[in-house]
Amino acid sequence: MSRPLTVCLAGVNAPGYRSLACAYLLSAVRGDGRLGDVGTTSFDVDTRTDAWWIAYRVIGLAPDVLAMPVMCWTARTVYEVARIVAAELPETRIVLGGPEAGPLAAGILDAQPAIDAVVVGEGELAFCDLLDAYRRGAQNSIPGVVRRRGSEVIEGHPREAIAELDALPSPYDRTDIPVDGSAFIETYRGCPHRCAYCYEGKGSTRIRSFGWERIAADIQTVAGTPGMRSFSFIDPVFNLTRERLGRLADLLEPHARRGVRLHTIEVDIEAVDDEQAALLVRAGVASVETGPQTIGAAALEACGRRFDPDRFSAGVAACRRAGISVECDLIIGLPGDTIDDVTRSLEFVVALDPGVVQSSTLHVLPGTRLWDRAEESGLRFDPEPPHELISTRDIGYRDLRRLEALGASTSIAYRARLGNGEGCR
Amino acid sequence: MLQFADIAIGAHGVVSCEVCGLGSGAAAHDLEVVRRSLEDVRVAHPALRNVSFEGFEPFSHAELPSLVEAATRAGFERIRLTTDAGALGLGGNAGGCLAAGVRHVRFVLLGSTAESHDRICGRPGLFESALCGVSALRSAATDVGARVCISALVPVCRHNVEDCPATVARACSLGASAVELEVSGSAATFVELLEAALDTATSNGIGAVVRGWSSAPRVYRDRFERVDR
Repeated sequence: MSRPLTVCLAGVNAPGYRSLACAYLLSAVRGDGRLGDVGTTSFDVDTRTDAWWIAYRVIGLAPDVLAMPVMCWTARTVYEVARIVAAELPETRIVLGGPEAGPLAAGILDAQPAIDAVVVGEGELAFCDLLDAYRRGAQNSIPGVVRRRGSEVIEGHPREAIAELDALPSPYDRTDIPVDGSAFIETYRGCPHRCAYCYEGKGSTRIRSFGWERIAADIQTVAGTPGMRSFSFIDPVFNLTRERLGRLADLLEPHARRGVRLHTIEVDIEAVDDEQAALLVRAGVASVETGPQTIGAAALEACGRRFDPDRFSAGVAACRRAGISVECDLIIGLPGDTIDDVTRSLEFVVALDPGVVQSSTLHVLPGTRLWDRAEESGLRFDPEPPHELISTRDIGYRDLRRLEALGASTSIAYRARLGNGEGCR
Repeated sequence: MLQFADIAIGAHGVVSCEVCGLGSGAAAHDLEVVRRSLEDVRVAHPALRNVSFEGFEPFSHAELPSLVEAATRAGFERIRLTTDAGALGLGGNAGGCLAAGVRHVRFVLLGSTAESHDRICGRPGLFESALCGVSALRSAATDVGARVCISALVPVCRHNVEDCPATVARACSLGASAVELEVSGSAATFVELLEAALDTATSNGIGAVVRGWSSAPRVYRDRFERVDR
């Protein structure tokens, strides 16, 4: 017999970022005809909020189901929240999902007794099926879900990626859209690249796009939010094709003219020329984010990345001519990189004068090729999230820390200059 | 961290070890000399946008505002002052140098405490004044929303090498975002102390560079060719 369920979706985010996960799940649940009697509530916090206070909010709601997306940055906080909630509300079912949890589902259920189920991959359909099973008291296996059934753990068949994205209710329809720059729009899923350290493509280069009518509606909803000054796109390559970029520019231009700006838009910088830069400006793009991550040949090959320094430089220059700031990212500790490769990469991006130079240490993420091949690649990393690199075959622990500090200091020194966005922290 | 062209604004005028006796006969260069140096760098190194005023305490230079203006007019985007920071907290100096266009300040630290720093440089009270100066600069930058880079230069000689790790720790506690060690003479033989000083910076998450120590760990060596006028 089914009974009404109450569901709490708690989004624990990295500071300055609000994941779309809870919004998508909330819309999916509310749009699922089977779940009409399910009560839902959702809130987002970031990791600066102590886990005990996140648990405080959840326990006050006393939901039947607590769902939390998990990323490597937020995992420790999420697991702590789960432990506290499970201790106080042992009847509450705790469900996790997201890029940190999905690839490690069975292991998480083994190691974390507080967790009842993990959704693997895209959550919208699988989570609704799970809630339907909960409300019916059904114990069946569910595609895309690894769940407890008594003392055993049952793994549902892998679920195919959602083919018709437009069938998913928009995450923006009934969501409080932040106007502080932390709102993101998604126009497609997948990634054309297969960088070994990244989980974005989920192992496939297949791109699934929302339809243009949906994209236009989402842009209108987000960009048209009263008080909206800045937001971004989650798409891993905003300039996927010239045609697509042009269509996005057409949709965004009316909002850009009103002063709405897009920040840290991820682009394939080697494809950017003056024409693409002009389209980015029309779209209201104030800043883009790109690699090269490294210029070391061995690391590029190990990570499956291509890099043409001339095209990269030309793309940065085109953006700068158009008044767009470029954040050049570097990853310290990629397999194959030596100390010299890291320092030369830093010098390369500083010499480009892109606008922002940012470096970070490699985190070996579950579900990525580097995770699967860590031993053969000579990577030693912390098995606990966020899976930070300890050392590589070429760079020892101490030198990695020294390089991290060097990268951080270089970023600060680089940004301290006349006229660099002063007054606009 | 970044490459700067060193522009001499004087000679023998930077705070240094009194016992080593390098700081006598200080003399400031006049504005025209500095202008020519800036132009020489601009022509010889057109891609280099960073200059550092060296050789003389900038806040003792009568034409400091004009020097900074000359650098900005020459198109340089990062202008650094190497200073004892003693005058940085006086009057409107901190706000004034920001308004003029300075975004990089490198304060010289010779010891970890008032006793050691002031004794080495022979200037009682300088340490406390420098602390006030660094704090004043940080406040002024916050007030106007300017991004500044405050770093520390630690000259290391045989008279202060034993205090070197603690001096770096002090620099880190003052909020330096980078530390540079300039090692001279026999101080280079104190390998463990120098490495401890550099690792003190690293363990505080701060980049460190060393000059004058040929067997320094690779990551810490200054990679940039010296550009000076």
